Amino acid sequence: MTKEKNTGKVYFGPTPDPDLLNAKEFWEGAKKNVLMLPKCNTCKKFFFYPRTICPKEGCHSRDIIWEQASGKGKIYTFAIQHIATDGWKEAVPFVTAFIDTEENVRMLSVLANVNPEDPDSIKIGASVTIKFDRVEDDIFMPYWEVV
Amino acid sequence: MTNKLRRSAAIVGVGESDTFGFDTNKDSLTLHTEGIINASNDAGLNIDDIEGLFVTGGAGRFQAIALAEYLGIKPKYIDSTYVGGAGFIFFVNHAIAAISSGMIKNAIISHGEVGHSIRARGNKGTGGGFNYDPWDPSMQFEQIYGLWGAPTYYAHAMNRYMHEFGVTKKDFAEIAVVAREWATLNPKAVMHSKETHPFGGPIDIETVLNSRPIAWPLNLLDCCLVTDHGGAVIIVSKDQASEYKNEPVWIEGSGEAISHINMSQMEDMTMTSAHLSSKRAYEIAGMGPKDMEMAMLYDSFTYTAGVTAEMVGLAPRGEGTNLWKNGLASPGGKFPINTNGGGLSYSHSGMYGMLLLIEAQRQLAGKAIGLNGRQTTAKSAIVNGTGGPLASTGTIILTVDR
Repeated sequence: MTKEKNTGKVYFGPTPDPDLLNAKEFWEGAKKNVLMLPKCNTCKKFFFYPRTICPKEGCHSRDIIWEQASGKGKIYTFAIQHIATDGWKEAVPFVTAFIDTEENVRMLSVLANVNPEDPDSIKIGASVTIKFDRVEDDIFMPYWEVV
Repeated sequence: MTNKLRRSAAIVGVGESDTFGFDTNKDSLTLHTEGIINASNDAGLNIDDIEGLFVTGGAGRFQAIALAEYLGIKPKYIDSTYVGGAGFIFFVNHAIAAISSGMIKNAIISHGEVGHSIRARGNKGTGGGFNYDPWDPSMQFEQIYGLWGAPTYYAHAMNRYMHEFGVTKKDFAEIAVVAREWATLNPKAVMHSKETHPFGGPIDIETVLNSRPIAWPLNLLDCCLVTDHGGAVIIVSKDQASEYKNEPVWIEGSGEAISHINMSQMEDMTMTSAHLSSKRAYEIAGMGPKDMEMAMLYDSFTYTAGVTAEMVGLAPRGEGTNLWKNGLASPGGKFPINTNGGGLSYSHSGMYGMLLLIEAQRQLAGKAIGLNGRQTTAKSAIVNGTGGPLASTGTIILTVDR
């Protein structure tokens, strides 16, 4: 926590390849510090992670568009990681959380500005907003902060 | 009307690798082989007569073919389905399909895995560790944020469950304590005593709560062991069940279910698909939770066992841990659970499902060797395996005629 505050660094993982997995819009949005989400142009529901088919029961349309999301959500659940591998070793203990966004998709990332030594101080249901950590010149990784 | 799959096959033999635990100094094909030979001897089956071979774990990419070649056999039906540690229960379901259709008369399900040794050799985690693959969505959109293995995922589900039901870490710790009680009755359990392991022998709730944090809310003693282990079970058609050395343990019903692989796609993290796999198994069996006299519930974590008890109908929602807290699950209790000591205290190589099957057969066949109190009087058992990040479940119902 103090470590993160001192360096401003939140993301310690590998650098993704934005050209893969049909997620170009997601990474382009991240560069502009906005959350872009895939949406089914048939049933009009958002989903995440990006896919080339709508995963909703009864739909499965291949007509997928991207829309800017609000970047706001609530903590569905979280965990405090005390053991990690590779670059994340440097960050322990850190908090990972599944966030339910206002668009009704669930995403995992790191939760910053919380105290990993005091789990009771982190509240399920708390409102969070998305932030981005610049890890390379044009690669930005999303994480969440409690509002 | 009786379902035609009910009692269409029986378990007639089980076996484990000659040694298991830490430092077996064996490769996984050797562990597979020892399990198969011991199970074959237990049943009285020549391995040349094996018709179906069901294999997962540590046999390379070509699993069943690789093991068949290693043994020098050519079974006419193979299956290497990979769904994590529930796979062996899925294999029972698949074997029933193959046997009841008449395609094969017998099947051997095999496990061999060096979960401990692979770590000792520097590879991380039981599933091969974090080898970042940018082509894999689960890597790119979940694992990349610092998750590396089962506890890092399961901790999220346990926290949500505790939040919704007001159940505490202390309640879950009871499951670890009771697992250890069973292990102290089982001389083969890795954590049986100080003689078998420096930290073996009885533990209390404080020991669990004070063990080091792995992924809050999971402490070390909420987590299963990571060992080397091999094992096998032999299943034969009902027409052949009386031709082997052991009293048949009947498969009354079986079921499988899946829910997700990325935890972000898991709608309700306080549940697992075991409510579906168990429903399928109970329906075939024509039985329900009240007909069960013991349970083997996959305990990769204390949480897994607790929530599974609810999913398979043994306890109401939010009350799974009460089975352990009230002493029902303990040695001498009215509803024994995880009588070998569980993945928490017996052994768990990463994919534990095989050991659920072996222990259930031993209990029902009256062959649970150990200290006084280890052998239960149960004549029926429910067995449930959970695989991946709470992603897959398999359930079977077993009985014995006595």
